[in-house]
Amino acid sequence: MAETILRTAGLLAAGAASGLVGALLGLGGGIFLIPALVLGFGVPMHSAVAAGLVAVIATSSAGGAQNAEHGVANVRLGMVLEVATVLGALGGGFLAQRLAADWLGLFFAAVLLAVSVTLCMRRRVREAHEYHGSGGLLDGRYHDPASGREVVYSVRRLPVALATSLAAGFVSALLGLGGGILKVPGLHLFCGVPMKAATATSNLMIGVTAAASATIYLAVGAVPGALAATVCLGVLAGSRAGVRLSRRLSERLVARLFAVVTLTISLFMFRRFLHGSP
Amino acid sequence: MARLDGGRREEGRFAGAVLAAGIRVSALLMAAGLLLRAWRPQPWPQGVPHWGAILRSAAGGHGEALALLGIAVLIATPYVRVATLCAAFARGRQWRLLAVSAAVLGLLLAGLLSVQSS
Repeated sequence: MAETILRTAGLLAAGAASGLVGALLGLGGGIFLIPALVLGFGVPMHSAVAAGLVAVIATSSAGGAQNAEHGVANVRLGMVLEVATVLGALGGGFLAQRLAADWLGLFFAAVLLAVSVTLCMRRRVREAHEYHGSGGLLDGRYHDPASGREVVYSVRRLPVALATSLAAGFVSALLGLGGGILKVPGLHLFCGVPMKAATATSNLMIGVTAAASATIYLAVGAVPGALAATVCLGVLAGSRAGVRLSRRLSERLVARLFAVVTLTISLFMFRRFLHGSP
Repeated sequence: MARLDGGRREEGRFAGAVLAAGIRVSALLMAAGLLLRAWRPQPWPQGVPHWGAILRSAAGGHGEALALLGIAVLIATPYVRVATLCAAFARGRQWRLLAVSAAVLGLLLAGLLSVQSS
């Protein structure tokens, strides 16, 4: 009995932590949750991926509810990019049932490493007041409490954003992630979207991406009900806190946190899957 | 610009309200399911779920079925959000955005149908 209570508390805490960091960085949470479930709770990889997808929807919905209302999430840009993301997710969802768990883990680590190296190599991060809008259909506007300014920005290189979103959808379905690890740096580095708007928009989008894949997992009975529900309750609480925290942090700090977190997890997962050590 | 901003605010408000409602309902179902499962554990068949049976079991107070129902509501929430934005774009006469959101909804529904038929 005590063991069950401890395990439940652990799953709730893991969910809350991944929800907090996921909502803060626009990653969805699967990126943190899947390693925690596999390494910390002994959950098989495919079950962890299914639970991770459901947790991504929880992170997205809880964070998106606040971010969309405050205008930080660019609802219009998100909707345009969702076309590419859903196409990628549907393709990846069907392929995921035919791939071995070890290869999923290895691919997961490689994607994380590539993203973190790209962000670490970047020396300068623009702050809120350095963005300008041009009155376009996809322009974004929100109030940034950290800088006390109204941030207005234009979206550049839409085809790059669409290509990144297609790849993100594919990765999302294969690995149980929200795809934010690709979308956030893609939108921020190549498309002129401020880091906070990129994380919030990614956070909103990943719910749709994950829903497309999670539906497949649910239909084939691959979603572990009690496990996913326990984790999700933690995620819902954590992601609300993550959004509140995000509004108080500077652009620079959010970008640096994003790079550090992805690099750490990447190295951890490489060690686990290449050498079999915990 | 002011009209555009007003439209954006309304779209954001619609999306936020749908997401908030979805997470409230699903959290309630999942929490009730987990509590019932701990208080009165019952066997649950593994494998492909039959939604008629899940709904009947959930109505009968089966914890696992309620938790699964909560997960299903959570998964459905982004679908409803996209549908709501379709309506918001139509209301704001944003035809290009309406076409895009309708395409997203169409892709999601095509995915659902392909899962059902496979």
